[in-house]
This record gives sequence, C-alpha cells and structure tokens, in this order.
Amino acid sequence: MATLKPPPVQHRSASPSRTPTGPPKAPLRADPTATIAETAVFQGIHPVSIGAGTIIHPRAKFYAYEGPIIVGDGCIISEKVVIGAAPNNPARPSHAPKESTAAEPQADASNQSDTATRLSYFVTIGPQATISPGAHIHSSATVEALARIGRYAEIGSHAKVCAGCEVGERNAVDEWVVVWGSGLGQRRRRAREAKGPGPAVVVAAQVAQAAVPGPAPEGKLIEDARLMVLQKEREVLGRMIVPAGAGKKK
Amino acid sequence: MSRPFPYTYVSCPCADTPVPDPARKRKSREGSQKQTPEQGEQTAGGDSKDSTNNEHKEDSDEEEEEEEEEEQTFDPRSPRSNFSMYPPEQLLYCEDCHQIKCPRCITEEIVSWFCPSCLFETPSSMVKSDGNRCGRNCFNCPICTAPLAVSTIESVTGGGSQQGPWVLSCSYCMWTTLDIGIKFDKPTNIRSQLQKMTDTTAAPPFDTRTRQGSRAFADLKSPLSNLASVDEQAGNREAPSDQHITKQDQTATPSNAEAQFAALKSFYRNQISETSTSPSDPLGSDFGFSSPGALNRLMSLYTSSTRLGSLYGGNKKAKSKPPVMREALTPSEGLRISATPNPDPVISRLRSAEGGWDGVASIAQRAEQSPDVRFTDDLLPLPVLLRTKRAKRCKACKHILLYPAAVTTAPGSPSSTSAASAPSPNPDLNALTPLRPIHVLLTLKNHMFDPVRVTLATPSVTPGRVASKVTVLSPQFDIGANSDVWDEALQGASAPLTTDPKLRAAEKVPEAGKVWDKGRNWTTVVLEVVPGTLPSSDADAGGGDGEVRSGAGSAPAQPDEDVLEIPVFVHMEWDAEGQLEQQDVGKASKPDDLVARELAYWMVLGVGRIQPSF
Amino acid sequence: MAPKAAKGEYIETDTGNKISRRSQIHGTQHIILGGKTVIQAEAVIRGDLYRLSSTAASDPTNPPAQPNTPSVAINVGRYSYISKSAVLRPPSRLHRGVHSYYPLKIGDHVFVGEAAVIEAASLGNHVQVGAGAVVGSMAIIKDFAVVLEGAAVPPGMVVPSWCVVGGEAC
Repeated sequence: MATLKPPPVQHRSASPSRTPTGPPKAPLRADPTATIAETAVFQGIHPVSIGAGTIIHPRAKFYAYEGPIIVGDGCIISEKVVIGAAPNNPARPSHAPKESTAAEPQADASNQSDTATRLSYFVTIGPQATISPGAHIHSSATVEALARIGRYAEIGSHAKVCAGCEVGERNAVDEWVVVWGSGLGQRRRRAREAKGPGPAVVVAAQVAQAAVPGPAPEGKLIEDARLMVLQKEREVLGRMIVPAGAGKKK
Repeated sequence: MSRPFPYTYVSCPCADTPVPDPARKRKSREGSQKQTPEQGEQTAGGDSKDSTNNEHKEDSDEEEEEEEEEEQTFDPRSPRSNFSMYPPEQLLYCEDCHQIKCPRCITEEIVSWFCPSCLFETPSSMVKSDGNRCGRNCFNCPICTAPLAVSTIESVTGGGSQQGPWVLSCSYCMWTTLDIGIKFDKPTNIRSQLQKMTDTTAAPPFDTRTRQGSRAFADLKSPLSNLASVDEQAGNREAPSDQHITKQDQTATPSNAEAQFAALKSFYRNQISETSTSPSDPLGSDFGFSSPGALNRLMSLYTSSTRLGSLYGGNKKAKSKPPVMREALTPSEGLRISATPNPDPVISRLRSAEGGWDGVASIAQRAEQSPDVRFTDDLLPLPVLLRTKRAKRCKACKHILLYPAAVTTAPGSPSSTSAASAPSPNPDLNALTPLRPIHVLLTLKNHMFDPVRVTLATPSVTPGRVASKVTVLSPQFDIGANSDVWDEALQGASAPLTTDPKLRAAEKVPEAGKVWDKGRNWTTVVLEVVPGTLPSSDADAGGGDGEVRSGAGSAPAQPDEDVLEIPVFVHMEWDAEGQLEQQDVGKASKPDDLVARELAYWMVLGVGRIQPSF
Repeated sequence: MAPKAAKGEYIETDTGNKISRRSQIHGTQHIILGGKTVIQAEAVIRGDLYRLSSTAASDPTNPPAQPNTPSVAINVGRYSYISKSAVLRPPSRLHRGVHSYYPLKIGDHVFVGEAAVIEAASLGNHVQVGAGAVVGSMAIIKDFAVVLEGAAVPPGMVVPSWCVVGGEAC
C-alpha cells in the first residue's frame, strides 16, 4: 500500500504546450463567494461569469468561443463538464457534441447575444456532461453525468436530465419534467402539489371500511429537501475544493 | 464462430452417446408395470413394449457408437457437432461418472431464494406467500425500475429528528410515493404497510372470516353443480349462480389479484374434475386433463373415424354427450368485469394537460401492475423480485457438480482440464497465409491434484475442403499436479523471468518429441500447422489464370469455410485416490488405493482465418 | 518520489502502480492504490473529497482513531485498471443533517472503461464497468458483476455477484 504522489505535470502548463500560442483565456468574472477549482479551464473570447456560492469542480471546461457563459448563484458544476464548445478542436472530439462539428448557420454565429449559455440558480451539472452553446438551463434543474444538452435547448426549472440522456438541439424540456431512459429518453412530470391517494388506496379503504389515509404532504417538499441537501453539499465542497487563488497544498 | 482467435471448444460426448437417464428408465418401467395390469388396452401395452424396445435400441446404439468413435474423426464442420461444442468454461466434470458434462447433461436445482437488493435469503416456505418478492423494504420504482429508497421528509429539512412521514423515493427519475399520495408512518415493514393500504384481503379479521365462510359456501355449491352435468346443465346453472351473486357480492367479491386468482383456480379445478370424471365419458378412462393420457384421447378423437362417429352419432343417447367445461360466471368464481361503466372520466383525463401522453402508463409499466392501471398516477411501487441460487447436478447420477456459495463469492471453478492455445510467431490470425507453416502453442493446464498423462491426436489433414496439415510435435506428455499456488512462488523467485513466453519464443526452436515448456501444473506443446488453400485460390493455382479470382472454383466457398479449425483428440490418464467403491474399481485397481482414471474427448482449436489468395 | 526514472507516459510507484502523467488525480494523500494498478491519461480521481475529520469525530459510529490518520477517500485494490477519462468520485449523502463524503472502495482486478463515471460506494473484485457507463451515487456492485457499456446504474442500486447490468433503468 502506498499513497500516491501528485502528478508532476500540472494541467495548466500542459494546455498551452498543445497549441503554440496558447488558447485565449476567457475573461472571468466570478463572485468572491464562488469556489472555483484550480484546474477548471476557462477558454474563449467571450466573458464567463460565475454567481455567488457556485462550486466549480476540477477539470470543468468553459469554452466561451461562440458566446458568453453565464452561471448563476448556487450551482454545482462537476468534473469534466464541458460548457460551450471547443473551436472545432479535433484533439477532443469525444467531449464536443456532434452538433458542434456541423456547420453552424451563419445567422446564429453572427447573432452573438443568442448564443449565450445560461445556467440559472441552483443548477447541478453531473460529471462529464456536455452543455452546448446557447443552451439555457433554468433554476434548480439537474443535468446528470454524461448527459448531453444540445444547442439552444431549454431545460425548465426543477427539471432533470438523467445520466446519459440527450436533449436535442433547440429542444425544450418543461419545468418539473424528468428526462430518463436511453438516448432522447422518456419524459415524466414530477408531482408538485399534494396528490390525493391513488384509486387502489381508496378502494381498499372502502372495502376495509376504514378511513382513507390522511392527505400526503406536497410533492414539492421532496424538492425542497433535495435543494436543502444541495445547499449542504455546496457548503462542504466550498471547504474542500482547493480554490484557484490558493497556494498549492504541500 | 463468434469468438476471437485462437479459441478452443470441447465436444461433450453426450451428443453421440445419449446419457442413460435412470429416472427416465425408472419412469417408463413403472409406467409399464402400472398400465398393463390395469387395463390391457392396445395403447398402454404398445407403450410399454415400445419403451423396452427403445431401451434395447439405445443400449446397442451406445455400444456401436463407442466402437465407431474410435475410428471416426471428429469433424467440427459437421452440422451435428455444432450442438456438442462448448467453450471449456461452460463445461463441468462429474466425479462420479468420470465424464465431461455440458449444460445439456446438467439439471439445475434451486438452492435458495434471495433478494438482489438487500441480498437477504428468503426461506423457501415464505417465497410463495411473499409472491416471489422481497418482503422487506426493497422496492423498485414503478416508472423506471430503479431501486427506491426509504427516506423521511422531516429529517432532511429539520435536521436529524428521524420522525415524521416516510416515503419511498426514486433517486433516478425522482418519483416518490407522494406522486400517488402515499406516505408511511414508520420506516420499517413498508411492504406490509403498503399492503394494508392497497389490499382488501389483509383487512380486519371480521372481513376475513366472512370470506372464509363464503369460500366454504362455494365449495358446498360445487357438488351441486356437479350434479348439474349433461342434461340439467342449462336450466340448473342459472338459479344457483344468481343466488350466488346476490348473496355474496357485497361481502366476498375477490377484489385483489391474488384472491381472484385463487377463486379462478379453485373454479377451474372443480370444472376439470367434474368434466373428466363424469361417468358419461365415452372413453371411460380416468385420465385427467393433466395426464398424458388426455392427449392420447384427444388425438384418437381425431384419428379414429369410428370414435368420431360414435361421438356425433351417439348424440341421440344423452349420456354419451361429453360434459362441457364452462367459464367462470360470477365474481365469486373469479369473474371480473372492467369496473369502468362510464368511460367519460377516463377520456377526459386522457385529454387533460395533466394526463396526456406523459401521464399514461407504458405497456412495460402496466405489465407489472394490476390490470386496471391506466395512468402513471395509479402505479404502485413494486417489491423486488427474488432471484435464485442454483446447484448443478449431473443428470445421470444426480451428483452435485456445482454448489453456489454465499451470494458474494464465486462458485468453484470446474475441475476439468482446460486448454488454451496461442500461436508462437504471432502472425495475423485473421489472415493466415496458405501453405506457410505456423506453430501453434497449445497449453494444457491441470486443475486436479494428481499428475496427468496426456496423449494428443489430430488428423494429419483437417476434414473439409480446405485441407490443412497438422502435426503435433510431442503428442505424449505429462502435466504436473495442481498444488498450492505458493509452491511455485516459493520454489524459485527468478522462475517467472525465465518462463516468460516472449523471451523464450525468441530463442527456442520447436523440436519433435519435446514439449515446448512446462510449469507446475501446465505443459505447452507445439502444433505445426500448414494452412490449406481455399477452393477459389486452388482453382487459380490449377488453372494458372490469375484474373479469374473471385468465385471461379467449382463450388462457391461456404461461409466460414476459411476458418482453420483443428480437431484434437485428447486422452488423459491419471491415478486417483479411490474415494468411493464404485463399479469401476475393478477396471485397473492398484494395490495402494489408487484407481486409474481416464478421460477422452474431442476438442476443436480455432486457429485463425486463412487468406483467400497468396 | 516515484522510484523509477520518469521518462515514459507512466510513473511507477513502489508497489507497481502505473499512473499516467496526464491523469488528473486530486487529494493524493487520501487515495490508496493496492499495487499493479493502472491509471490512464485524463482519468479524474477525486481523493480531495474525503470524509472530514470533524464530522467523523462527531459521528459516534466512527472509531476515535480516525482523526489521526488521513481518512481514505478512494481505495483501489490490486491489478485494477482505470481507463482514459474515467471519473472516480466518492459518493456523498446527508446523514443526520451532516453532508459528508463516504469512501469509494474498488476491489482487485477491476476494470473501469473509458469515460465511465463511478460514484459508487463499492465495486467488488473482478468487476467490469464498460465505457461510458455511469454508476450512481452509493451503488454497490458485488464481485464479478459486469456493467455494460453506456449503462446507467441508478443511485443506491445493489448489483449482486455475477450479474450483468445494461440499459438505462427501463
């Protein structure tokens, strides 16, 4: 048993060596309360802004080549997430979505304000997920590991895109909807309000001549609980992740 | 063949010599004994005669085939051999029969049931009552089948109170029991809590008593309907069933699936016994529907014209009319009619924004649920289906070949000798050059704790149109006994370096009569193979016309004909400790409790694919 | 430092682990590799997400010796193989109002395919995880189980030994 030694080559020094001039570093405007890991990558020509309390895990990549990237407050961006698209970089085709290699209509490319990639409040992005340029992810939505969000897609608030699922270009996912299954997947609306007991319960209660069980709490409670957990996770992560400004540990 | 080259298949001898199944023999003998005295009819008598004949035939066949086997070369391409070839890892060895056992010579036996989620075993007595599902807190999401977690709402928000309502929640698709308006009062025994909420049969004791009473009444009723056979059928049946409905509908309509199933089951059992034991049966036999005689009777209905004539012609005589099985007519008998007299609410729900396409349960979701479920809001969480651990027994002698250990541990590896082959000069196995010799290293490993003498035999030319020449350079050799892995490690620390096959291959030259390499419990020998030429390229060579290349041969190449497969006959002998006094002790017994054992089988080495041209 | 002279792509440790120079390992003091394990380029291993000692001390179930030794976030056995771009990340959950990370245990002879995301509580021995598979938080994969390529194992799932898991929960 041996503990590992840190890899000697730092990512930062490695990335400019790939391209002789070095990729342009995106102008970053981050809230002071945001925690941004040292090894997160910000590239591109447009500004990237990070909201308060947001956690950026290591090796997350922001490619602001086609438009600005705006990340709201209280988001969690996991490892190897790609937000935006690399400028047709053949070195990493696996991360770039298929749409990015296709020729983009000129009208969209010229209209830069449209290609802003927005993540609203309390958005969670799982490891290795891909958020294509122009996508808009509304508040409290979740995008799980290896999911792919196409260009200009809209993910409604409190929606969830499950692991490995795909939301196509310009597709919209309504709020409180779960995209699950394989590929484009199936959709399911989450319960928000309190639901009455199911018919099986009612029939059973009638037959047993017992009172129908009392009303269950609102489905929204579960979502509140989930957001509470996320809040705690952010607090813990904020203490654990080595921020970009801090000196090297050891 | 779908496996990458090189591969090995072992031919199970059961394909040629059907395993004498003692159970089958016993059964047929019992059958003949039973049937002949009872009624000396032509069918039963003929059966017994046939079966004895068959036995004789089988026995003589076996002998013949054994003799033939000595001479015949196993042809991997013959259509029959496809059914006997198995990769070594699928084969087992029966220590009682001293034979290789393939999946077809094995019977499986359920040892225990366990829940794949909590990994607890369920005692077999509980399996049926639990409906083959986990009786603990393991549930699957009715939407997406992911496991559901028991979680509390209060402790998440309120910080560690561990009280308050509990729900089952799916962390994949975010479904919770709140979606169907269900919460639980305590985090344990969720299954029974849920059952109480949705199941009418597990309700107060008063209710169950009436249910029992009603069942007793139904039983009482059945002899009555028994009387109501042939003639009175039509008239009599209406009266009691009507009475039945009025009396019982309020109290004892079987409202859940299990009760309905039980009612239907008892109803049809009654029907079967009524219709088949009727004295008016023209065949007068006591065959039930489940007995094989029933099939006989049915077949003879169609074949013998005299019977047909008697059946239809005898219609005038009331007693020859066969009793007709009727279907369930009342709810107490298990009849269930869709409970939606008015479809409008369902339709309006389908149309509404809340229902719609997303709100309708998919077929996969409904398959697991009660038949009435139509919307996703009606889906109930599913207790996890149990799985089984199975033992494998030899079909012939019932010896246990494989017994599952605890869920988490691996079953023991089969104790047969497995072989793996690797070519020495590393040519491209998917494009072997015809007529260029290659050397194939064949390693045989011994998993037994006795040393083994091995004799290999191959046909000098492979069967089929593509004739490749094969020579085993050292057909006879020994393999050491399997021993503790540590022995090898302790013997010499530097050993691994010298036995590195890559290092050796560079300097070694294969020699006839010498093994290539040898280890603790393995030996490697060399096969020299000269791949044959494919038919089309053969024609090229003969005609000398280089341009007619594709399909000019006499017959088009069959698919996979270019695959070079070598049949190898493996014969091994070893001295085993005679642990059981079996009949084969007398075979070649040695003074000190050692019994000579032998095992012989055909094996197929898939070496590679031959290139079509030079 | 690594005993062998650093020259090729891989560094070899004392116990024979081969770790790509381009792997992306965080929190090395909280990672244990059993030996002869290979970690390929761009694999992310989050050793920095360990269980905080303050929460460990407050938890009565934990032995008191825990705060002294660095808590282990990821434990990989012998002869395991972590392919290119795979992500190993300890699972986390809220327990009694405290959000904490739990160790990720990976057994011997485990293969983790390219770009797979592992957030499981444990992978047993001889487990295979195909490329692009996602093993959800707190999942338990027992010995000899196989997770097919692109499969999504939902959070909290238990996969018994010798089972094959595929598809995406439907």
